[in-house]
Amino acid sequence: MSEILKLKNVSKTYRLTKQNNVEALKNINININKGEFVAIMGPSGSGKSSLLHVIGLLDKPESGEIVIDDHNIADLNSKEMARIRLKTIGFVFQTFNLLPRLSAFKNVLLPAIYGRQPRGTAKERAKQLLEQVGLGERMKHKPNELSGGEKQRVAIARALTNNPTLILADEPTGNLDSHSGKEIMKIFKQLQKEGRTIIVVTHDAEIAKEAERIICLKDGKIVRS
Amino acid sequence: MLFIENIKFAFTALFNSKVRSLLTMLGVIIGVFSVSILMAIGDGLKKEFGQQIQELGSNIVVVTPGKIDIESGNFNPSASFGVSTLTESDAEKILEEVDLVEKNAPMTLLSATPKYDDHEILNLLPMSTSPTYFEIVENELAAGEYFTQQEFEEKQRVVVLGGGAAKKIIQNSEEGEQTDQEIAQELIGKKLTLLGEDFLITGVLKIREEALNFGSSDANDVIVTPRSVAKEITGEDVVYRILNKIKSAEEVENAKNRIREVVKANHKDVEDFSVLTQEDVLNVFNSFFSILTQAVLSIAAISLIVGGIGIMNIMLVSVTERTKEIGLRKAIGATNGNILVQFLTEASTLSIVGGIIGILCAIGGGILIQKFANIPTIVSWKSFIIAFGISVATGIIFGIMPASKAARKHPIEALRYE
Ligand SMILES: Nc1ncnc2c1ncn2[C@@H]1O[C@H](COP(=O)(O)OP(=O)(O)O)[C@@H](O)[C@H]1O
Ligand SMILES: [Mg+2]
Repeated sequence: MSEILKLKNVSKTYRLTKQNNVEALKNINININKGEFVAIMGPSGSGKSSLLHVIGLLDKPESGEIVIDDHNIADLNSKEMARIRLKTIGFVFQTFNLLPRLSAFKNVLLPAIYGRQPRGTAKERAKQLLEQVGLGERMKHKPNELSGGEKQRVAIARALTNNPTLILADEPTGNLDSHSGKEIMKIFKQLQKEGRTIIVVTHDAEIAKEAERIICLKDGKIVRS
Repeated sequence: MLFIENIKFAFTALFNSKVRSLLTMLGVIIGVFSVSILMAIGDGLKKEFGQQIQELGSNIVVVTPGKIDIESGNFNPSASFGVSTLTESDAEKILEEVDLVEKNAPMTLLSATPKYDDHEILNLLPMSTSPTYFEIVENELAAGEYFTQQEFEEKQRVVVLGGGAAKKIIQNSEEGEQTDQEIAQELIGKKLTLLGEDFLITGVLKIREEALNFGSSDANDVIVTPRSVAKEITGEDVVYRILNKIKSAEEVENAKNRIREVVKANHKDVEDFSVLTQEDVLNVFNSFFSILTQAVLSIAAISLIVGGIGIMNIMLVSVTERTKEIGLRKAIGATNGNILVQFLTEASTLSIVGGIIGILCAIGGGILIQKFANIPTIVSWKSFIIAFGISVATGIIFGIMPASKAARKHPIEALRYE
């Protein structure tokens, strides 16, 4: 099976002041195959989010090598990295991060605008995605008119707009009740069945059980993989 | 699709804080309004004066007292209103020595207020000249006759009224609606008191639409008396203008130079006068308007800088407020360029909408000014395009700083922003 993601000796240090640095990631090595469902676990502050940001090209590692979908990140400029975020990666956040002034539909449409999809197909797809996550009836609603679980489903639909192969979710159920959380995990399982690779950060063992593989972090190091 | 969506986002942002947007646009609105309205007035006046100067005729050369520097357009206005150094002998010498001059007429303004029916009539232009004046200005009669050479020589107390003067005289003494023609007919044979003596009204001129304007009165307000009579009563020999009609329009420049030489010789080689053609008058007039244009442009520049700073300020606030949005857009794949264009579009939208409001106000204001202040205005496509261009440029120039600040934001730090 082919690899979609490879991290080799990846380190990340936040430089606060000259003396005070935080080593959030220390020599991380990970290989993830296409179609895998991976959970990343670990106590708060162990570097889970930092890891996901580096994988999602939202942040640059201090050192080490990252290969996503056969692209070596070191060779890419910021525009090419934006293109990978747009086309290959779908991001889901703990706090949803929907644009408050736009309807659910418009929020889902947003990545298509940057992807320069034809208007008609983009709209059709946005509608279809909202139906897929069970929000066919809520398309015109603004985020503040939706429940937490619904917001997260809109966010997942948005992550799928440009049909990415890799879904990254940072504690997607962290702000949800356990029922909504389970619903969200069901959707992720479904997405895996469609052939996508799923990486979910969580500290909920129940949720992590859904994954095929669990990577445990502690103090920026992998303690179990 | 991205461009259209950017405009939509911009309008959403604009309408989400209407008052704030309006206050921000105010600078641009005022700037564009003042530029457009001043340009409209300038163009209106320019057209009107231009037509009036055309009316002077291209084969007329005027000698006026005072030295006007036509090249720079600067002249001392008092020179043309102060004590005149021109005399009748200048006019005679020109006619004698310059073959190109077909005929000429010396003109002198009289400082006197005419009385009709014991009422004083204000804002008229009493003047004295020779009969050739009528042949030069070619103003048709509405009634009566021009005064003749014979009347001139016999020093008869006669006057010919301009069409406007006739109207003012009648309006002052009687009520009721009368046509210009009826007014003219009525006045023939009546008496007008000027310089303390009674004058017989023998002719009334037709009203000319494009008459040279002198503030509260124009060339239609003349009261023309024989120079011989005025000279006899006042004892003054000064001349304020010498109108010369040139035989052919092509010879105007030559004639002008010859006239200058002749008058200069007659003035003991002192050039204390100016010789102007229609073109020179146009030049003086145009240079006056270029000064006006410069003044308008500096007002524009100042108000648009103020407006632009307002836009920059509000865009900086907006970028900070929407830091999270910027982070999110980057996370889902927007490039720095996408973010830059989005915020530039927003800044331009603010200034363009402001510009459009300013132009609309100027159109309305132009109509009102024309109607109530009777100042001609022309709102042209030119001013639309200039105003529009200026507002787009303002938006882009003053939007660059906030937009590039937005574009440079680090996605994760932006997403963390509370
Ligand atoms: N932007 C930042 N600046 C400084 N320190 C940071 C920053 N982000 C994270 N950290 C630090 O890095 C470590 C790992 O953080 P994080 O990756 O958020 O952990 P987790 O998601 O597992 O809770 C923590 O000690 C945190 O304080
Ligand atoms: Mg975290």
